[in-house]
Amino acid sequence: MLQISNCKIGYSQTILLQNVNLRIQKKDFCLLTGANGTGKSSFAKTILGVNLPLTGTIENSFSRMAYVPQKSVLDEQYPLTLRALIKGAVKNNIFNFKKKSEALVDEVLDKTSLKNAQHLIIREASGGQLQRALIARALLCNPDFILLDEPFSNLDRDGRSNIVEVLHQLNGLKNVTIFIIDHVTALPFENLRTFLIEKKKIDEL
Amino acid sequence: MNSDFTFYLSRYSFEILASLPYFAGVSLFGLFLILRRSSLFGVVLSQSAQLSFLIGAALHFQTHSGAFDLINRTSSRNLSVELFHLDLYVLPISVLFLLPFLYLSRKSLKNAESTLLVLFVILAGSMPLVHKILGGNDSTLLKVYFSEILYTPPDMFLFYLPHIFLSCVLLFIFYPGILLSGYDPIQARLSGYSVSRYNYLYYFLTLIILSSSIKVLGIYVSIAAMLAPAMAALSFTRSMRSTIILTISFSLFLAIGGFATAFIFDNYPAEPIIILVITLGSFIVRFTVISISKFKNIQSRLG
Repeated sequence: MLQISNCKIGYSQTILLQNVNLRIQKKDFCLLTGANGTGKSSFAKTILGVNLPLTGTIENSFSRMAYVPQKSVLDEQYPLTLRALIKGAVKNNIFNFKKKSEALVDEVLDKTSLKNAQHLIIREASGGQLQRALIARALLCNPDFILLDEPFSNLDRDGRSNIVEVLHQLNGLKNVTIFIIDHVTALPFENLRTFLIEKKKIDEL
Repeated sequence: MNSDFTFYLSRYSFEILASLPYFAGVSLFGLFLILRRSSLFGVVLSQSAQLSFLIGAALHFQTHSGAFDLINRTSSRNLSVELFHLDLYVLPISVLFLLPFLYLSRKSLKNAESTLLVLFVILAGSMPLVHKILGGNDSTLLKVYFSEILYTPPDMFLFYLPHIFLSCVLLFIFYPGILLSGYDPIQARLSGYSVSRYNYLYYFLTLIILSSSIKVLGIYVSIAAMLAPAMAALSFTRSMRSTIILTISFSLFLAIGGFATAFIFDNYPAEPIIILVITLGSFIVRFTVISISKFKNIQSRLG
């Protein structure tokens, strides 16, 4: 469970959100929507523990949080194949990288239909392939909570339905909590909890 | 010519061979600097390491002449012991320089790049002044910038080799965290890496490598070897492993080419020739690769 109480979110000089109170349960399927510059990404970073709230408290009992960033976050000059990008998320060093990890990478590549594109490097991959690779990377961490930042923005209809299917499975079969940040106000999921950021506040619709 | 070359090789074979690990090490760290878009940071860091060396040498030897005996490679004392004691001054001063640079190199800071450039000018511009204040002259100033690789005492090569080796080993041990912190800091945190610690570690190791290599290779040869081979390798590699292997290979190949060219133009100082061979060689590789890929693109569009 993630309990956000009386939080003020932003940076030292700029307050983006105030009086944020939210409770996200295990297996919830959430959508956070709002206009550009309203603080969606800052809120995401605060949930993930990357930024601290200016005031208030966050209680988090999710132990394996995963993040699917926007495609533009990645630096395309790194010579990384999609496979290497996915594998890179597992905490390893040269002494303990195991064959088991390779098998897990194969499994998530299968799930996201990326097997044929695994050897493309970041700058060669299409927006959809890269988006799926980022989702595959999140899956590799065996998460109990996934935060996706505009996951459908680069996808065609097939890619979109592929990701919707994967998220359905994760939420339904593996009880993973899904938190999507997007500009859209509706997504094809049942029991979707929708939150709107407006006037420095988050309200559930 | 052949007998001259044989003499050149036999006379300088140790210096040439012993300098190769420095070229390899410095280019490996340069690759990560380029990937992190911190090349300018690396150049500023090299200036600060050089300035620390000048100040450290002056503090350690207490006399100006002692410091310049070392720069002139004429010190008759036990060089390894001197260098060890010298590092007790140089490293803390370098770290002291490093701290504001780490703050200034943050991408989020406004005009970080311009600030680094101004810092570069301050450090590079003050070097001759500091040198003069410490009692140096114009000929020793050239040695501060370019070193004299072929006249570097063997003890100096051997003393800094463990620094290079250890820095590279640590880079490989912490490679996954350093890499992930570079291209996706948020994921790095979620994967359990402390991004700031990995960044500090990487920059500290870069400082060690630079502060060792500038004493042997000189500041400009170090910068050339740090940035040019990696720039060339990144033009056509498809994985980190091949990029690392190619960067080191280019660095070694071009360094050897530099030494060979320096033999041909033996009336001129070796170091500027080595710099030109490394940088121009890297540009030629990069230009050729880019041209071929553009030609292939045009061909595939037409075909």
